[in-house]
Formats: sequence, C-alpha cells, structure tokens
Amino acid sequence: MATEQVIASMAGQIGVVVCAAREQFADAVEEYMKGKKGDIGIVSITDKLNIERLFTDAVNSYIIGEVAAIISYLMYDELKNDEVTKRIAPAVLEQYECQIERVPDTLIKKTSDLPEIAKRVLGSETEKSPLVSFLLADISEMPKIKHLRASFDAAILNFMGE
Amino acid sequence: MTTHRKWSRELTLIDDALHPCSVPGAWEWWYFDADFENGHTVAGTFHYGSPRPPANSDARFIEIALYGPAGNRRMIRKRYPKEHCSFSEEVCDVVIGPNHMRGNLKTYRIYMSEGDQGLDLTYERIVGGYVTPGQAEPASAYPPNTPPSWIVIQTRAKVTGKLTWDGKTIDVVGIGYRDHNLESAPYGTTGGGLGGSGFGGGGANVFWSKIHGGEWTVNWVCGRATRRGGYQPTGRAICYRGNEIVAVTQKGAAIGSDLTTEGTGVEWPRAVKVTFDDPGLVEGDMNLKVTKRIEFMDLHSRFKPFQRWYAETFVGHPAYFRYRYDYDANLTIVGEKVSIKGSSWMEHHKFGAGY
Repeated sequence: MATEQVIASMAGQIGVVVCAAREQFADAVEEYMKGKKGDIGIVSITDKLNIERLFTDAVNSYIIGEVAAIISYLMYDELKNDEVTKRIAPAVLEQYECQIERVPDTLIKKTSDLPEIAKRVLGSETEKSPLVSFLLADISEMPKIKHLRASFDAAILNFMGE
Repeated sequence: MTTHRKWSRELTLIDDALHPCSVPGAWEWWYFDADFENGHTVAGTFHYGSPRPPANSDARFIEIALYGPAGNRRMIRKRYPKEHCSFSEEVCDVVIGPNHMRGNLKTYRIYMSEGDQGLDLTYERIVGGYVTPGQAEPASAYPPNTPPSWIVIQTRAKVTGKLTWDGKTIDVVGIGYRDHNLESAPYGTTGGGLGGSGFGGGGANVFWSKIHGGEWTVNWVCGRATRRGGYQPTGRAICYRGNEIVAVTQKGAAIGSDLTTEGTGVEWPRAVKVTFDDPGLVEGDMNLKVTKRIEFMDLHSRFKPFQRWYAETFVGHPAYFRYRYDYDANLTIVGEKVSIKGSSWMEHHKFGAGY
C-alpha cells in the first residue's frame, strides 16, 4: 500500500481501538454502579477512585499496546527499519507493564490465546517474512506472558495480514 | 389525489453490464433468486471481484445456493481463471467458466452447471426495476470510478426452466428477482457499502427482503447501526403498486430480537421488527418471525489467525445469514392501508458486535 493509504488505514485503527476501550469502560462503569450500595446518584471520593481505576483498565487493555503497534507499524512501513517494532516499543511496553498496579482481567483474557495461536502459525508451512517470524517467536517463547507486549505483537501481525 | 412522481430513472442496458472500475478492491455481482412452486429456492451471484474481505478484484466465481423444501441445501462455489470468463461492458452478458447470465432487462437466461448441480432458468419481467437516486446517474457516468450502486433489474419476474439437484433434473416454475450491485471495497471494510464502517467504526445489522400481496410489492432493506454507530436506524423501501413505483422511503429501521447463537456461534435473531416512519409516503411496521435459518457464512473464516483475533477483540464477528420468515405487515403507503401476511425469506448482513 502507498504511504497515504497506510496512514489512513492506521488512523482508522486508532478509532477502532478507542471505540473498543470506551465500550469496555462504559460497561465496567455500568457494572460498578449496579453493584453500588446506597444512593447511586451521588459519586463519592471512593467512587471516583474506583471509576478512575476502571478507566485505567480500559486504556491498558485496549489502547496502550495497540496504539504503540499502530505507530510502530507506520514507522516500519515508511522507514523499512524494524528496530522500533522488534526492540524499542516492546521494551517500553514491558517496563510500563511492570509499573502498573495490576494487570486488568480483560487484558489477561484478551491475550490468553495468543501464545497458542502464535505456535500454530509458526508451525505452519506458509512462507513468513523475517519480521513475522520474529513476532511469532516472541509471543510463543515468552516464559510468562507479557500481556502488553503480546498484544502489541499480535496487532502488528494483524496489520501484516497474518 | 396521488401525486405522480418519478422515483427512478429508466434502466438502460448498460446498467446491467460490467462497469470497469480502477479502485483497488472494487467488485460487482449479478444476483438472482427464485422461489418455485415445488418448494425449492435458488439464490446466487456471478462475481467480478470479491465482495468479502480480503479485497481481490481479480476473483471470478459463482456462488449459487439451492435450497430444498425440507431445508436441505447445496452450495456451489466455483472459481475460474480470468481467461475462462468474459463480461460485456454494453449489456448483461456474463460468462464464468461454463456458467452464464445473459439478458436485456426484460428477459434473462441464467445457466449454471457444476457437477451434479445445475439450473437453466428464464426470467421474464413482471415488475420492473429501480436505480437508487444519486447512484449510477446518469448511466453513462460509471467508469472509471464506479460509485457504490444498488440497481434492481427485475423486482418480480416469472421464472421457468429446470433445476438439477444431485443429478436429477426437474421442471420448475416460480417467482424471481434480479439485481446488480457495484461497490468500491469488500463488505465490512472501509468504503464497502453495507456496514462499510464495520471494520473501522460503526457496524450494523442490515436485513433485506421483499414482500408481495395483491397488487403490492415492497422491496426493502432496513437495519440499525450497532452500539458503536450510535444505534442509528438505516432503511429504505421501494413500494410498487402493480408495475409502478408509488413511494420510496429512506426512513426505515429494523431491529433483531430473541437472539440465539444456535448452529452458528454468532448471534442471530429469531424475530425482526421493521418500521417505517415517513408520513405521507410509507408508515407502519412489519413483524417478521424467523421460521428457519437456511444460510450462514462466517466472514471470519476467510481471515488469518491474527486478523481473526484482532477483529473479534476490537470489531465483532461479521457474518451473513439467510432466513425463511413469516410476516405480518401493516403499512400505509401513499395514504392507502396495506395489510399483508405471508412467508418469504431475507438476508442478514451482520457487521460489528451486537444488535
């Protein structure tokens, strides 16, 4: 694809992941309000903190790894340099994941099948580019899954038509 | 007094010809269906380019379903190399391998022979067609960049001929329909017509069918955007009295309910409510009760593993269905009460998550 088409396509993908995150957030807030005891019309300090946590969960589950993948893929496509995709962005995501208070259940669920999918694709006889092989190996060989990094790898593989 | 209004320009032969398009991912199909007196149904398409992702403008294939009265089905999908296919740019003269469709708006001959399945049908126009205003206008404006278009060639046709099912050929007589669609990208992808934002945003559930009773024929396509699209209604109906279009409305909606995943793993509705709210033109509703799901195409099945994971996680599960249904329609069309009950079948395009 021409650069402009890739940019347009990736801009669309930012919208896609933001939509998924906002839906996840709204659903989580709905669940939270349903389970709340007392006057649900008043938002207390505790409620605010809890809703902030739900927001963080949604962003961590659906936006962080994916937007990193979108930007990295654009750089790879334009500059034909895979350093950001293979090394720099994953390192940032890994460090960020270490900082977060807890990995959201939605992120764990979302990434749980990825190692198995990656192993299956890796084992298939289809021709793979070096970057595709690298990303597949990265997901399938993680001793303990790094969720954001796995999400990032999987999103790039999707953009590459895998 | 009914004001006579021209709702569609006259069809021309070129409307049903090939419209070469330079947009990558563009496709066309020539569609036909028929319900026969012996309980059989056929529905099929001759394809130039792929209507489903991934985009492939070089694909040439037929996809024809034969449905038996007992709910059994034969699906014939056959792709042919480009050099075994031909498409006229002047009239409908479509050849894909040994299969062909030829005609002149009034009469068509449609022939398919693949292994033990086949058909040889003649379509004779009863109720004429329709060109969506703003699309494909004028007819000479198609190339090089064809706009998405839905061109109804025959809203109702008398269909006669032969159907071959598992090698056994039977004579058939029935009522059919023919149309022709052009799009600039596969369904479910950006720019791809129905649910075009399904892969980039909105998503929708869109139902299409036609009902008939007395002198009335209503060809309708209605639905609603999914949550991501703000549940915006979408709908259109073309209403004929006899052979004349008396009303066209764009103010329709359809909502599926009583959902199930039975047999598919993807949610589909067992009831659909169609409503029109266009005072003076078309008002009222149609309650549709699904009696049988006769088709399911999992559009994810064409995706590779990580594409499937991404689509499922962020977009939803696109699918295509056909259902037989009973309907109870209570409409007011240009001031005239139209109440029709009967049975028909519809298609359902599902893009995005939910209903």
